[in-house]
Amino acid sequence: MGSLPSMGDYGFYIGASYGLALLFMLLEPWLLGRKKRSVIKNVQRFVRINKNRHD
Amino acid sequence: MFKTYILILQRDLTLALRHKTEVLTTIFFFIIVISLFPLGVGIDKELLQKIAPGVAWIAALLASMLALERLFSSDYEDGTLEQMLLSPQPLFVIVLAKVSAHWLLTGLPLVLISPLVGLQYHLDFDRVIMMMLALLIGTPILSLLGAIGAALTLGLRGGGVLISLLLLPLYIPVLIYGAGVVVDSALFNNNTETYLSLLMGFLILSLVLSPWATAAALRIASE
Amino acid sequence: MRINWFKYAAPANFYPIAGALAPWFIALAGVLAIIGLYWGFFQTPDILTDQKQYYRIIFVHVASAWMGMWLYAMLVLWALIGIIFNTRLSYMFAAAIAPTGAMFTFLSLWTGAFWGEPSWGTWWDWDPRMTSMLILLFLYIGYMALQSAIDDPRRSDKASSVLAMVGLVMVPVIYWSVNCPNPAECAALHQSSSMEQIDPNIRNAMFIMVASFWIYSFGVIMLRIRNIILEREKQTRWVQELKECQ
Repeated sequence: MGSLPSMGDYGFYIGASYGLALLFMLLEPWLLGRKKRSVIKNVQRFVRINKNRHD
Repeated sequence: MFKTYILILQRDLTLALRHKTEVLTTIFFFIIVISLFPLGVGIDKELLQKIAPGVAWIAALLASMLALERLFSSDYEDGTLEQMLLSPQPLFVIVLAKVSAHWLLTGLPLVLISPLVGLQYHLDFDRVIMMMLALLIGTPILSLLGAIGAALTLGLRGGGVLISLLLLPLYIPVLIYGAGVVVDSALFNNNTETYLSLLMGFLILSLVLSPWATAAALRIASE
Repeated sequence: MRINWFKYAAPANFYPIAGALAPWFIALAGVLAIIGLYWGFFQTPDILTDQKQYYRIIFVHVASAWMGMWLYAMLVLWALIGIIFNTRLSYMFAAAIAPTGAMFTFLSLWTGAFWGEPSWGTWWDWDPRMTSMLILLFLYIGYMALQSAIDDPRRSDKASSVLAMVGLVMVPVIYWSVNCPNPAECAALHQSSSMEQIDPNIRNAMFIMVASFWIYSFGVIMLRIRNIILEREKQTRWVQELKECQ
């Protein structure tokens, strides 16, 4: 098992790089999930309107 | 085929010359932009000489983009374009004729007016000649690539802004070598011929690529 | 066993598969990223002195830069397939790839800035490779802007595919012109490719990160394609009979 070497003064730069990468890569699936729910809601509304028309 | 080309060229030129303001707008836009730069960055003579090629080219890129939106839109609105698409004449000839008209109305005047840049930015005679030469080869590329953007954004809301978003990145090579040749011509052992032949090669590439892509985009737009 | 690939070219058949695969892809990408970063941060020998620890940005920087470029190639490939075979799904692939590609391109610029500041002493330099990444970002943005400006999906698919193909022809020209602003000498400030000189530990960790980003992209693209399919095909029977839409 290796050990984490000290980052010295560069923790900020490394943190900012990986931080944004992590943020983006968590945000993207989450946004897509939100979008999916809104799209499905839209389809459901569409289905309901169609049903009413047939009745 | 050649007859079609001449006919459409004549038609577009006639139509444009009836609305002279549109042609003049482009030229004055160019003049105003290059006149504003010294006011913004200061009137230091050396600085002006240094930035002149870049400023002239960026002003030319923006100016040639002004008239692009109208390249196909008036024909699209009154149905002429549909007739052109249905006509037995090959579409790329029609496209080429319209692009030529666009260049004659916006590109060529810029080439002719560019000595004014030399005057305002203290360039010597050789560099002005080189700039005119570069603009002469470069502005047809702008019109050719511009036609693709105009065809793709045909009839869209806010098409004008969108065109610049699509096209400006594609104009980069013209900007680099067009401005580069003027800078280079001032050096002691310059190789302006390399720059000019690169621009020529780029012109040939866009001459092959653009009419095809524009024709495809026009077909898609009028489906 | 023969798989009929064309069966999955129909959105109705692709939709459930994409939904089944996406979580696995994203989970696998997460596992790979953890392995890659563990290797990269804990198992690499300190061949560089303490002063140069900022090189550890390489794992995210190189991976996202490569993804930005490859995803553009993928986008163009799907656009080309779409134009040749006129399949709806290929256009959807192209449309779904663009935002992720733009995200990775931006990420590579961002991490590059945070690497450039300690190593070169500047956040931004007009180095050819940085400039070409910036232009790549502009190309992605142009593609997405055109796609979203056209309401009719059939026209927007085809128009943006033509744009992507024009971009494909122009990208080498742009790249070359940015690389050699003076045609007599093409100098790259970014050090030239030094893949062989890299310590194998660092290289392997980097490749694992690249694999992780690839698989992540697959997963996210699947999710986005599902959204696009639902949005575009909501008037079809199969979408309306999906159990999540009841």
